[in-house]
Amino acid sequence: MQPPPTASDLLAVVAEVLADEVVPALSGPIQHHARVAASLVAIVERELRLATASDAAERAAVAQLLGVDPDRDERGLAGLRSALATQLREGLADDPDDAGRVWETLMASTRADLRIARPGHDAWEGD
Amino acid sequence: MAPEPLTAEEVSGGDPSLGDRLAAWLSVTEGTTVEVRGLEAVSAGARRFNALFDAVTATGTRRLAITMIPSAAIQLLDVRGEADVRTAAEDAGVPVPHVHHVCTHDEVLGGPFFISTAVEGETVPRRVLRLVHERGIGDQVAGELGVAMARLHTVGDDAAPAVLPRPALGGPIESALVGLDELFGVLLTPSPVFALGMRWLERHAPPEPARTTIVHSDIRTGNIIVGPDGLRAVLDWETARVGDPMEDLAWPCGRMWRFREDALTVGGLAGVDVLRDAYVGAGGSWDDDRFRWWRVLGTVRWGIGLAGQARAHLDGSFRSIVMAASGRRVPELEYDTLLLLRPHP
Repeated sequence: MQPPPTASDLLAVVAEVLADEVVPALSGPIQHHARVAASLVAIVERELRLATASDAAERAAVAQLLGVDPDRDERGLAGLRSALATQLREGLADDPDDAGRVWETLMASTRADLRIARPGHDAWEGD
Repeated sequence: MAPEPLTAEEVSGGDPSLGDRLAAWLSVTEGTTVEVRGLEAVSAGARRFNALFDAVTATGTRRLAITMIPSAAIQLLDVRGEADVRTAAEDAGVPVPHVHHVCTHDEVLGGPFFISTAVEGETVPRRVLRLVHERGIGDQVAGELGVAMARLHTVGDDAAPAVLPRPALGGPIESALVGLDELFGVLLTPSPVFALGMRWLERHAPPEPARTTIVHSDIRTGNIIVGPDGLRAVLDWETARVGDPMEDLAWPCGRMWRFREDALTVGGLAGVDVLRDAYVGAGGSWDDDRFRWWRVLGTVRWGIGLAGQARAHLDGSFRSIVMAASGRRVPELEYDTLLLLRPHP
């Protein structure tokens, strides 16, 4: 077993060094690449902490929209998402009674994705 | 043998012969001795780069901009076509940098290019928004964009330069839907949100517009030059085509062009009413349903485009950390799509 720091701890410090020390020392396109690198490392750090729970919650929610039992269905999250995308293209949410429920479910999953990919993007609720 | 395409280093002065080659070409073209001074690159992308320079003659100095397409790059519109559409827009009263010269040959500088007036001002989005809000001219600039669009849209299909792409199918609505459906195939992982968006777009597709016109299709914060006195020029005409004028109105209102000024719908500048009133006041015809439809389409298409960038990175056709990062920006566009599709309680 690896001793501390954990993978998440290491990624956090790499992100810090990139953002606080490396980025300010660079300029031009390379600085931009370093800034993107810092942001990606931070995303992976959050993914390690949050994705297991959010993927499980999304799988259960998608299964419910599809009307399948998540404990009996053998498909993983990707398979269920694919099935849901196909059914939505075919009109699963056309009925106004279904539209609200589908929208709320997709919004909850998307907010969970944003907590990893871009915290704060969902602070804006206008439009 | 044709010279190699220019690099940013060459444009910025690493290659002393570039200025000489440009000066020689300008001297022949203008029939008088032209000296090129102060050549500086302002942007260098995969598809094109832009540089500024002073053209000095016996009678005076002009600050000019050169836009060059590397010979290997895919051109959406060739330099002659882009110059023609800029001139058509200028004739209609849209502020654009005036085009002085077009060179369609690769041999002179390593790629086709055109030369236009250099317009002073800010183009980088955050700097544009800082200037605009310091001066309190957000409403003014959004209004000027509305007027510029109304003028551009006076140029109908019949008067638009022949080189501009026309809708391939029944009209711009059907073409956009079919094009988006094809793009859908590039998604690496199926997105239920974009599937919902596609379904909505299909079910709410408006009739084809009664009149098609030139559309720029990328007028937004980031593609305009703004000074303390307001809007000075609309840039980057390579995406121009014939289409539904409401597409132009909807595009700058996407959240991706607000740069954190989320409450100011029109590119972080002002509210929609300012754009609409200016557009209608200048003779444009506004349609709320069409406006919303194009906003949803633009948001979904941008999201699918980001997924496509990640795929280009993963399949090796364009390895880049920026393209890789685009894949993780997809949830932002899914969220923005959902906001636009929020069911009414």
